[in-house]
Amino acid sequence: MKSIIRNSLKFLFLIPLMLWQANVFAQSIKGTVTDSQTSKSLPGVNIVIKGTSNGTATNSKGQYSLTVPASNDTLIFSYIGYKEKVVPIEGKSVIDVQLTPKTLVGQQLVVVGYGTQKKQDLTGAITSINVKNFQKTVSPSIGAALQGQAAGVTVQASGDPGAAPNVKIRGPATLGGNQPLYVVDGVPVGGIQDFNPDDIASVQVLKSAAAAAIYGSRAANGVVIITTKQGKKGKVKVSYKGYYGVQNIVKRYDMMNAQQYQKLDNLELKNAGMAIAPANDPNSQYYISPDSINTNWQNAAFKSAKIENHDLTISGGDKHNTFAVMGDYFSQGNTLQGPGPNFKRYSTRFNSTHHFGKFRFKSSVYFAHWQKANLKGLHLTSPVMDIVHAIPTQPIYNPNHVGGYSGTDANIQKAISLNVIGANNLLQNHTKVDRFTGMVNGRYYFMPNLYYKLQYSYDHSLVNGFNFIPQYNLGFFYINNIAKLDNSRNEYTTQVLENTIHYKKDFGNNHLAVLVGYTQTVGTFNTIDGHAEGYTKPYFEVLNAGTENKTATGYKDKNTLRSYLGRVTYNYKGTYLLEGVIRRDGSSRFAPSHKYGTFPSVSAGWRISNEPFFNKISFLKNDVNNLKIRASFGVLGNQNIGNYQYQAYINNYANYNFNNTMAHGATEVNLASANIKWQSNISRDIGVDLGMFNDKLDITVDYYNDLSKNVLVHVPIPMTTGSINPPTVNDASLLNKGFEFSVEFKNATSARNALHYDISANLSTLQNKVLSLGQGNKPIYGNMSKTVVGKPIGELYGYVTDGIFQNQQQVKSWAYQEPGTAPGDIRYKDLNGDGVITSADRTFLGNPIPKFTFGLNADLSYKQWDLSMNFSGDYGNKIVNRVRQTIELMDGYGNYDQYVYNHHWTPQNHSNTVPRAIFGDPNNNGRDSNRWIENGSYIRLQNIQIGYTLPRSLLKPVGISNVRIYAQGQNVFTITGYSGYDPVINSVNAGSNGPLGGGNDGLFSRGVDVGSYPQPRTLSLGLSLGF
Amino acid sequence: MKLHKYIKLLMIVIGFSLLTVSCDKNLLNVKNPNQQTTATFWKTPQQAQEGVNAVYGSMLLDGGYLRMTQTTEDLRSDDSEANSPWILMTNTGDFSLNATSLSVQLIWLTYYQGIFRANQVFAHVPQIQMDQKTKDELLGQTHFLRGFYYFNLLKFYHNVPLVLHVTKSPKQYDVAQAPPDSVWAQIDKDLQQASTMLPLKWSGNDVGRATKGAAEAYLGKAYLFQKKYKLAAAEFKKVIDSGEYGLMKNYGDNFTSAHQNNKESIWEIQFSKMVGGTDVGWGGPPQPTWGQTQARSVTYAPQGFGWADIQATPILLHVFQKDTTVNGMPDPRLRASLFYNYKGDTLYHTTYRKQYGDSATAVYWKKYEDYNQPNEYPAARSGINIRAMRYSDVLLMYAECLNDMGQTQAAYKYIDMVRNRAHLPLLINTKPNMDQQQMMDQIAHERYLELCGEGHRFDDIVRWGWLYNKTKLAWLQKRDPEFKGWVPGREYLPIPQSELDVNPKLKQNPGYGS
Repeated sequence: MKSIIRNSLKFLFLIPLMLWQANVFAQSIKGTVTDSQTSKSLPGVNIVIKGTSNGTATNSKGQYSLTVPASNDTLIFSYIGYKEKVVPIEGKSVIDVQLTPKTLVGQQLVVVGYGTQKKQDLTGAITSINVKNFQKTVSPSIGAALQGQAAGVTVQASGDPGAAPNVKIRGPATLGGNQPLYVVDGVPVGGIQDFNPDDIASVQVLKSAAAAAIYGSRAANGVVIITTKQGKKGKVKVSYKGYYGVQNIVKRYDMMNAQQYQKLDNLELKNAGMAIAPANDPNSQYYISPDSINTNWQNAAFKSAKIENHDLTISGGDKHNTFAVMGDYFSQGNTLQGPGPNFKRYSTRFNSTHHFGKFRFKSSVYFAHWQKANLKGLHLTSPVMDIVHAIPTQPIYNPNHVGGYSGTDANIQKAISLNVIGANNLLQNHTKVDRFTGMVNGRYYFMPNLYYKLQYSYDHSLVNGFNFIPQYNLGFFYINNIAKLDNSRNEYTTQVLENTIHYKKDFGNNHLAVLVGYTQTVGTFNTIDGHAEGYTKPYFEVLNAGTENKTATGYKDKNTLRSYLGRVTYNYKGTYLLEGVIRRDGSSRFAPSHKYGTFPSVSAGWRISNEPFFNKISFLKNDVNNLKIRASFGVLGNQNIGNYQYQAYINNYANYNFNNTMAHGATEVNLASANIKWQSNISRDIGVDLGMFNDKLDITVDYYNDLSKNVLVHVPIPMTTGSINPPTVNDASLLNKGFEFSVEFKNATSARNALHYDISANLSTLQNKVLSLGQGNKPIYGNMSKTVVGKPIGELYGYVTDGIFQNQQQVKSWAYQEPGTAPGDIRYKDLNGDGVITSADRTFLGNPIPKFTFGLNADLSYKQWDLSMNFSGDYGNKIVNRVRQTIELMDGYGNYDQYVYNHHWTPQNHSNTVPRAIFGDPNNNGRDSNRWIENGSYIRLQNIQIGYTLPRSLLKPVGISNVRIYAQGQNVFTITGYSGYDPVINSVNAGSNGPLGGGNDGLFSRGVDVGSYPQPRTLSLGLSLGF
Repeated sequence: MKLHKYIKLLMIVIGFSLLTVSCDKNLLNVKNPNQQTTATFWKTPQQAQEGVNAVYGSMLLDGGYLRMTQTTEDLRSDDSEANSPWILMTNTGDFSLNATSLSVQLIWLTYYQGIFRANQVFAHVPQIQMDQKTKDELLGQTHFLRGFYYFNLLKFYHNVPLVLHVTKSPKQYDVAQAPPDSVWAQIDKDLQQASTMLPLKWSGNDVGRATKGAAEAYLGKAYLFQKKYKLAAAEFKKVIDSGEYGLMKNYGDNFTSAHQNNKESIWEIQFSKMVGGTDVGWGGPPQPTWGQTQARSVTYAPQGFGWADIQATPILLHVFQKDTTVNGMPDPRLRASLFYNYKGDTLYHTTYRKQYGDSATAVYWKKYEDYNQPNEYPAARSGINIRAMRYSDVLLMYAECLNDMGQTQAAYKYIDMVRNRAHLPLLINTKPNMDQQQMMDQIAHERYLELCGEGHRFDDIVRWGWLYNKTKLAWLQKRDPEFKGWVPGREYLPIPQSELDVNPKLKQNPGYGS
């Protein structure tokens, strides 16, 4: 931050100096115009004095000379096939200009797996992300920045700093981890949140099999290919980018105050025939007056936090070598009272290339250190749930309690109310990670069009986990007398060795490219955890200072992958395109007889706009510069399961004790399936690329139809088997299909005073359908969801409400519900008409998968000003609001919301929507029903940025080539019917305990908001400088 | 010439590639370096022993004797009630648990885990080369435990699948519920086998393993539940005649960590604070950090010392206070069992009145609280063993069998043994010549007090048919209003919804909406 201020001051000081220099002369100017890439001189370049028709052209050597009337005039250089260049004269007499060839959209090189291809020759579905927009996101995460940027890519980000967002490409094609494969500079990496988005030069999302098949075994969820910045030939460039912002969680649930809470709580207990809580009884010695304590937990717990990022890049190169050095510091504070959750990352990258003779080398070294104070929970629910549910008659602090924070008592307040502020301050849980990724490759060119490439990469993460639990008393349930420390070291390594041979040849109109390769990957994991207890104050939070129960645990893990790959790309005149890919993978994760899988794909394209007939139709000839249809078919694999799962293992900790000595127990606790094998995803895609008006308008439409077979899945099995977790089996098949539309409309003018615009929109639909589930197609039940054949994964499931019983007569005449059912309780529909409400009366209640998701980006600039906006949204999905369920139950635990306070049923106030308040909820009014389901559609202004670029004329004298300042808002507003904090819900692992897991796994239970940490609103100011 | 050069270079490259391939033929054969597979385990006597220890280990989980087995047994009776803010507790007490309630799932899960472990022992241990006596003892313990687990499953759920083999293929996943009679037959069979294979007693660090006496006592209890009084009496008689057991002089010694595995103890669930980690092993795959402690003490602990999820009923205190000892003193079992308002009642070194005020009336459980320990709040880690079967229980069950068989007069002796230890006047003197019904009522009364808070009362209420007897039910409802929530069928727990959801062969129990 300091550096920003310092630089700004320096700059302000220089302005008068620069203005002084801009005075008036008249003179002649000469110079040479060359090609910026080849340095060849360009003859016949048109040079015009701006605003006049006066001008000249370069001679055969690319030289020109002309006289201009005033020195503050501007020259415009234009040449066919090159970008127009506007050069202010600024008193100079020699102006040498380099013109850059105009790249047609179609000729841009797109990085694909193990190589690059021209965009116009692509036959698979690949989306190139607009990196400029992507980098406008105020987030440390590459995943989060993808939101709204590409059709078919959905992102569920969290407000928990540094938490990995849930990214899905074209819907869930696997059951289990269904994140895409990320490949950074040719190296497949996990933990993408470790990487710095500002290092990135390009992002490609490979969506169809044909595009992704080269990564066969791991490509079933799509591939995101990332390349980082490289240096360019020429003088050394230095640039700085930074922002500083403030984040706030703005939304609140409207909860009862202390007085209302006591009134309702007393009513609940009275209705259940129980004594009221002493704390709520004015006649009790334990009475807590609502006038003395009235805590608004949400306002007390949430606070504003800072977020900042500083990025410095130095790059350059000569004829044989290039380099780029990048350094970045990112910090995101916590929006929750206490020492976390927050995230800090320091990263540095060094990229270089070297050419000599027939050799070319490239290396990339990345080092990141990050530390994250984690979001902490006690008990089983998420902190968000606990904050809203805490009772208002509980103070925040209590100096008499160990630790200094308040709690409740089972018999006095009769509430289970967790003091999240206390827990968050007392518990210390953080993760520190050192990540090193090094890649080096060398090519040897046998001929200009044939080379052998050997690439080796080593990716190493050292994860230091720290969890210190002090002695504390947070009341009933939340008391700890044994201070303990867990300090762990986890080490992950991945080594990849790749041998590839690349061949390219043009035979007249036939263009051929061939790739063959062999790769092997070895991944290891090692963990050591030290545990110690018995810490007393003052705490020395190291293992040595523990006095009791010092134990060490550890284990290690390894997996390997061996792959053979090949790709042939052929096109005739760039008009008929054909590509075939095959990859054969062997994985250590499968049983010996099932280790290998083969993943072929073929794709074809027809660039109609190249056809002679096309140019005979004047409308097409004039307006359509590109029209291509393409189709692909291929098979992808998935091995994204744990290691060693094809065998059943012995758990060594099933201990017992006799006579106060340990009796070691060992037994199998989980059943295994010996026959697990590769999952295969048959992916089909048809697409049309249309470019019109000189690429002013770009439209891409895709239809995809992906069939996943032998999906690796944990299908819940009866507990009577005794297995704690179900085995992984190849049992299900899934179909994902839909359309993707992208439209981009832009003007490419370089005219200085014109309005520049680039407006793009994307929309994708997803129809997910389960075709089979194995094991007799038995349904899979999730958290208020049921996955069955013929429906989408994780369709919401539960009872259907039908108003409220107003009198005893209605209770009697309605289907039998529960023994304790009474007037004021919710009545449920007897769907099977058998006269009783049973689990058979549950039904499907909505699809958690949006009908479509969309993004809209607008980039406008005029003179020095620029404005960009990014909207994103979902339409047509349903969310189970478990937070609302908790705060509308009125069954006894904690605080409830204003709505139920004002509207609950009483004999006097016959509500037909909110039931009576009764402790214990004998009718189970809180059961999973449509009462908790809400519409999840939303549209959000994800980003808005207004920037001002200082005129170059002011900067040049001080050696600064570029200064831009901007103001930004992120997550500015959301239009939604969803009543929770944030309609973008992310996975929360709440109380996951074998088959009793109650969280959101992003898949079978993806529609459940169990208190996901909301994304804050961010307002920031930024600066970029180029030297 | 040129082509020749290409080929040569290509050969070199391909050769290099192949070299990298061939140098690691075993690249893909990665063995798990952490754990043995089931195929390599089960070979040695040591492993057989560990396999059997693991069968015991299941009892330490939340659904077992760590907590939920006990809370679910006690809360539904008229000796315990819930005033907890945790509605799972109040819902257990007033019979409003539903198929998704946590305890309903945990108990089911825990016992079937134990049965899985037992079935593994039966699948593998017979093939292990080892000393026959040791092998019999190991198999005997496993038979006992499997019988005991099915006993608990049956009493909680009544309609349960009978799984007697390790599940080998998905076809075997779904098992229908067996008729309760056939589950009883299996329990009888397992316990009979256990009683022939197990030693009378164990020594050293084996004390606490299942014994012949435990197998006979549970076989007797199983017969009693089946109303096979003659068979039951024979088993109880064997236990009594074995000479291995007697009553502790001090009743309270049965509920602390000081006199564990004493002569009164026939089957005791072992807990220890001294071994293992300090994490509570609620559930999931066992971890090295798990301790060997129970959470009963903290769950039942009076307000201020623990969670107070379960309290004693005022009626229990009242009934206790009706009788006095031969010396006119309160029943010593009362002050060993309950923490209530009388001058000087102390728990964790704090008096009742100091804690709650002079006029407080709440009645809490003292039984199984580690009250001599320093005030370690919460007593989340309690190492007190749970005495699941005490000799006094056997004496009272034997008396009940005799009475049921018409030998009412012979029953006096055994009841009076229990009363005598509590210094209560002998019935043979105070209530001679009771008829069969009077004796039955007396036995019910004796069991209510002697075994309060030990998970037996509700079993007794069910097997005596009181819930289906209008007079008795009304009487119970008066004593403990939680009984007003009972509807026919709800003496058993519902089958967990998650289990019904995955196993279409299962049927929900009556009383739960069907």
